[in-house]
Amino acid sequence: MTQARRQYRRALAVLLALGIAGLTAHAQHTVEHLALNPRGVDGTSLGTPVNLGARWLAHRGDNPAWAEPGLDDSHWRVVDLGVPLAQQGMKGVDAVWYRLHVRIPPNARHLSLMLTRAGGSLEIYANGKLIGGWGSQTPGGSRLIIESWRGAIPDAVLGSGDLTLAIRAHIGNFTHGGDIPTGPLGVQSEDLLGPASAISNAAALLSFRDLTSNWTNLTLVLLVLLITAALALTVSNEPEYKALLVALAGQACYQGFILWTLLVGTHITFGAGLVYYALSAVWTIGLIEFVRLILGMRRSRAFLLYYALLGVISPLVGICTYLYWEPHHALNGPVGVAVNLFTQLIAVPATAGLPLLALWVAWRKHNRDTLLLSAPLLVNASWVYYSFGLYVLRLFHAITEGTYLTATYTPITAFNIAWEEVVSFAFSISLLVFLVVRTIRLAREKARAASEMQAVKTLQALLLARSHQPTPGYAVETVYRPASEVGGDFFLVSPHSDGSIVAIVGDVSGKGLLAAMRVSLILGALNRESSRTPAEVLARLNQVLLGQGDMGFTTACCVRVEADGDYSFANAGHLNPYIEGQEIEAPGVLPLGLKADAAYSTVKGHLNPGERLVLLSDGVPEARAKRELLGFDKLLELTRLDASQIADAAQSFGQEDDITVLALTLAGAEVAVG
Amino acid sequence: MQTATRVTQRTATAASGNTVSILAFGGDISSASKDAVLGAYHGLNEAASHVLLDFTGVDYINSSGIAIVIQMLLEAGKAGTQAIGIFGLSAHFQKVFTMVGINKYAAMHKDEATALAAV
Repeated sequence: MTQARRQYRRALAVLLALGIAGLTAHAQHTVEHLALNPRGVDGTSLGTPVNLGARWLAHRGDNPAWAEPGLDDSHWRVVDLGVPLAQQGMKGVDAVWYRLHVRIPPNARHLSLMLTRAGGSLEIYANGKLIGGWGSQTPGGSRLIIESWRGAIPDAVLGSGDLTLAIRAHIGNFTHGGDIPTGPLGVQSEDLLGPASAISNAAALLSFRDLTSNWTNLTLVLLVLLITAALALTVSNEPEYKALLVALAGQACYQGFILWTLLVGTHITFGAGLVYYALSAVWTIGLIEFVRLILGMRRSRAFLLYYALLGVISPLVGICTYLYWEPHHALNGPVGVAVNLFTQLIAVPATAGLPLLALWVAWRKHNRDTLLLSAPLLVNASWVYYSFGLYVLRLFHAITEGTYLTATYTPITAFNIAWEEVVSFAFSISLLVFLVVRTIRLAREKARAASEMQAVKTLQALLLARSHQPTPGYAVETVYRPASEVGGDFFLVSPHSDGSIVAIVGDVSGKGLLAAMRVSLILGALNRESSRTPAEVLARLNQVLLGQGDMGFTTACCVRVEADGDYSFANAGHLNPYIEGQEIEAPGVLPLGLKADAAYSTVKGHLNPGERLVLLSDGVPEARAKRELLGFDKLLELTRLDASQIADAAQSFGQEDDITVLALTLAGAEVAVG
Repeated sequence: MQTATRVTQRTATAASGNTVSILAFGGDISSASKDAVLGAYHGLNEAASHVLLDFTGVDYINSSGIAIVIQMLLEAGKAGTQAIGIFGLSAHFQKVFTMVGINKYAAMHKDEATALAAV
């Protein structure tokens, strides 16, 4: 291997260490590095499993005869499993044999051997008898296989009081020629010899210790997932919860997948690599989308492009990771390094950049949600900052690779919890705190808004109640059905002592509090209005509403009917009146409040006793069922009905907007009174 | 249930030989469409002297949506440099646009061919 090629491979190893941190971190295990003599480990007290210690005899090369117990291994080197082979005079190894001599009781029976977290391609021998192994024993044939192995030692090879354990290993790809202390019997390994039942118990305990952090992590993620699902279902108008739900579903599957791989044995296969990184992509994209929505940022093309990149490169990382460990593959070299470096450059900013973005937006917009969210994001990114910092230190030789790996992956409790997992716990908890605090705040805000809305609703009801005064000589039926709690429609009926009546129906664009407040302003102005000439009423209302264009516009149709049935009306962008199913057309004019010099022409006519004049808001013709509007044509028949029947018809068709119907009939004939 | 507003921009050559910018809208136009509609209009080249608004793909325009269209037309009227035409409206919304006086600020045509012929 050339120096350049080795450099590439070393760089790739560290990048992969970042990329597959989850896998390797989970492969950690606390090891008592007992400095026993590998030429004579005392195993005479085998009531409990004996830890075989950290020192083994090792010899580079490959020769099946080295399994034999009688081999003269006096010249073999004693190696410390916690130190890279490269630092113990065995640089660039591919094939290596390990041997260990244990003194056992001559009558020992039913013994088992357990290797935890052994890696590479191995064959395991007891007194020359092959008792287990995995992987290919061809040169350069090692792949990333991390196994916890347990096997019985045949009684037939026991009885002499001496047990020689030999392990044939191909480790080149796995430990980068001995540069990394991760196998085959590396820093992560704990090797036990003892009675089969005791080894079985030790294996169960080890599995429990190993997986505790994974179960805890998965449980925490599922808890946050359930809470987010509840929020997504109950707060349907906030899509951020749906985005977080998708992200957490990806994260839960991802954690579950890791757990599954640990339970069944961790093999990086092509399919496993793809699934692992695809789930990781779902998590990352969902998280970014959640943050984007909380920050109130537009889903610009840059976001979509980044999502597409993440979606494509994440499976690519999986493929590269798999191919990297495939012996003799083309990607197992500079091309692989380049592809991996590119993918890391794309993926890492997603995690590392989000808290910075949140803090920047919080500072710019003084947004409390954003500031609150930056806490879990900083926790989530701390692992990347930490790993990257160590990587830079290692790159500039400020720390050794061993220090780098130890600082990155050393477990911190007997329950084998890596720093990355602590970060994951802290992230889940801080995200939970964020969700709870935000939900409480939003609930309080909603309660306050509901209280304010109720106040406006009451005010509007009072104003509209005043809008319908007794109308001697006329039968007036009014129906007002807002689409939401408070409406943007208004009406007013104002009889006069001279026997005339003025009726106005209008519509403020928009809905909710703003529209309701504007209606209140308009009704206030109309109640103060002294003129009874429709065009003048509209012109003055136009002046009142001028300069409020940002609040939307107001349409209105104002009708005056005299005692003798003569009527006049003016229209400002509103629906025309209907008399007995006929539309009385007026010239189109801009709505109110848009032009200072707007003039409203007057249309005149005569209403016979018993004839019904109907004013309505656009909530009637624009009632909508799926994509079909109720439409103007149907109004011709509909406006022959009572006001309540018209409103019922529109509502049953599909109410989209506020519905107001005012039907006015001149008395003097048999009339329908609402 | 309202659908999101879609806006696309294209250019066409009128019968007169003038280049015409066409803003084609789709979906529903409501208060939520303000950024999409006005953003697209503001994004037009200031040199575009002829603009056509294509409502062929529009399903529904509520009063807030009409307010946005009026705002756009009033802006164009203030600048005084753009002639705006409208086509593709359903019969219902042709009537609504006429009622609110939009026809005084923008010529209304049946379809794109008619609109381009009138430029």
